[in-house]
Amino acid sequence: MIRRISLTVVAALLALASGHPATAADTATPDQPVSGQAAGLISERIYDAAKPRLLQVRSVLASADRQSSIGSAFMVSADGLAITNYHVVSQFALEPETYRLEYTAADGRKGVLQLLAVDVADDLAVVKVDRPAPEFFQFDPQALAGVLTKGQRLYAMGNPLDLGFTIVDGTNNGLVERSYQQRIHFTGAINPGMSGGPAVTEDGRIVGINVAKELGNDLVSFLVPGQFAAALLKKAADGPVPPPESFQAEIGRQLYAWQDGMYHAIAEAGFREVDSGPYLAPESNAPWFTCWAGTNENDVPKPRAVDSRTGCNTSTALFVANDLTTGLMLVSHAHLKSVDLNPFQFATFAATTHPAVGIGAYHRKWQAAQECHEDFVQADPAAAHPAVRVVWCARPYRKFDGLYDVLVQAMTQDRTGEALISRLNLQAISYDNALGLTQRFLDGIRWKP
Amino acid sequence: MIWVEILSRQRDVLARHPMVGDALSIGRGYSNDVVIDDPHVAPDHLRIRRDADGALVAEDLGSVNGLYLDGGAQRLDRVRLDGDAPIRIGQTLLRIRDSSFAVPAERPLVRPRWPLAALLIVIILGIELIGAWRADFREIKPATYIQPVLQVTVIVGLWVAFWTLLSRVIARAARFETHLLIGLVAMLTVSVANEITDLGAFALSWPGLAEASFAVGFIVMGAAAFAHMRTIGPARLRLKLGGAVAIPVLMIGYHSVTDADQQRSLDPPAYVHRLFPPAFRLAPIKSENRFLKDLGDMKERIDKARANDAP
Repeated sequence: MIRRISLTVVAALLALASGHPATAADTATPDQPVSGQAAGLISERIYDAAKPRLLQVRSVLASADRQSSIGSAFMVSADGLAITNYHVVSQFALEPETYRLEYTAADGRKGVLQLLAVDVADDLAVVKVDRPAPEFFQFDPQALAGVLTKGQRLYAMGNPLDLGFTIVDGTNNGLVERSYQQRIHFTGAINPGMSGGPAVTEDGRIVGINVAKELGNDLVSFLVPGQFAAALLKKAADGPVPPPESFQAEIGRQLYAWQDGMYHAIAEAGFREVDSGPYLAPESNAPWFTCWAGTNENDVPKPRAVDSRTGCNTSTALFVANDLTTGLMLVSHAHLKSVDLNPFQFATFAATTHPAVGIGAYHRKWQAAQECHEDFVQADPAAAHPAVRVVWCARPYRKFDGLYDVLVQAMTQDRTGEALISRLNLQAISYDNALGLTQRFLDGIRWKP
Repeated sequence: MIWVEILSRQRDVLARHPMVGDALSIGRGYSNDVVIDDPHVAPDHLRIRRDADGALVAEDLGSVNGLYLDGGAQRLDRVRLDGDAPIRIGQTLLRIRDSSFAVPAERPLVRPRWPLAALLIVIILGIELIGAWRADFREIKPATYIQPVLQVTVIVGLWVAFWTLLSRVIARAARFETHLLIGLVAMLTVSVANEITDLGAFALSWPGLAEASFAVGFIVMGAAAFAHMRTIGPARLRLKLGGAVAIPVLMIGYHSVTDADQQRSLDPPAYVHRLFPPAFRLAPIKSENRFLKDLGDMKERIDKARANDAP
């Protein structure tokens, strides 16, 4: 599971900072292909050049005049445009009356940031500082062309844990495989607070933007490819300065467009049929699903009904706000077969082990109450499809028009001691896309010929 | 002979005085034929005599608090007594009967009702045991079956004990057997109603039915409370009926309010929680197109709820 790295909770920052032993870094440094001295020289040179181009970005709670989250940013134009992550500025973008954006440069100068553009899907934002920037970063032309060299040494910069500006080196491991969202896999120590900072080549050109790290694993970090930042920068530089209140609607539009893109791609990729007992169940052909399987067959005490589950999800995660990450699609199937349960016990087993809940976390701030509808349904032709009991629930987003979290759960009704329970979870999807996928999904539940 | 009976608030006879002659006086003073220790009764309050037809008549002797028919609001100077309707002076209820008053025929002895009670107990526990067995898909453990039996026993036991005790205190008679039967019938009704609503919710694909089953419980509770109160005494039946109606109305109202609050803050999905074998389905199987059309129609409702639930 990927977690964002902006510092949103001060308590977490303090806990992390105080629990960070100074000696750990020395002992953990592995042998490196470049000699320590040479690597040190390169880092030194890069950092010296980069220092005046780096910013720390603070989301400040206006009423208290205190920071509520911290990230990094870097200058990309002479007139003061800088790039950071959307999640670093999300509080201001969504609630501009409550928060304001400030920066601190490496030389200690402070000022107010203006938000020019956001790209929620790629977790990017363009901000503008209140003074010109004589020095700024250039994009790496190869990265802009989408060429990434695996094994290439990259240097990531930012202000981790509010400890001061830092440079860390690591390895470019190319794009993350089987992922709908394009991210560069960077093997290096990115930490909270470095979000929005640049990752550059040895000649100081931007390859990506620090965005996330895998929690609980070592040095598995992610960068947003620089080409997306260059595209957003071009859009921001050409367009007028939007008023701060306009971003919420803009984020809603981007979420809508994003789901339209992803769910259309999924619909176009089509579905394949997987075996599930006497049934066939639909799974997406799209390459970016992560799949898993499990069974209770060997549990102790011996299960009185076998429950074999398999599921696939897109692993997509759109950060919208600190308490709202969305954009996941999940398909799962459970084949249930009674060992010694009678039909009543089997029905209770199915209802208890596969309740029709789990549409995703509910935040009243972001979503309104869900409504469900259930029915016995049979797809055409009836000779090919078992009758199923379908529970269909939808929960609308409050602030983003036309988006819903949807749950579809179907349980076959043609046998007494055996059933297929198939489930489809769709986060932040338009109603029409949800209905379309529901239809494809129900059409995919069939008897094995 | 004239009989003067002093009644309790439950209209049970507390004291009975036989009086020889055609007239008598009632009051707090010791000069009276019947002395009543009620501070709201005048020293010389009431005179009972026969009128020209020989019927008994009660006359107020000029008291402050007057003479009323039981339950009446109108102060009366003179009441013709039929032997059935009690009269009230001060806070005391009196019933005056002539020795010629015709009592109803003797009621035959009721056969013991405990076999019926035992049968009900067996049925109720049987339903609980079958329910536990039907839902038992885990490792078989005795506790799975003991717990529901114990639970229903404790609930019925406490309920019956409460009413028996109340009966003993108010009416001076425990009437355990009657209270037990009422409690058992109520419990049986609730069990059966729950089964029917759960089954109906699945069979008809109608989650609202299972959600409404709590209302059945409260209605049965109100009805049972009325039966218990009537057993305690026949007085103020209208008030008791009011209580019996108020219990379910208030409880259902409270439940609905808290439920709505919870729905807003916790977002529990409204779906059928208890499933049955497919053979119990009654609702017709819909075509996929019809189902998708229903879902499409739902959009308006969802959007409307979203608009109405503005933060």
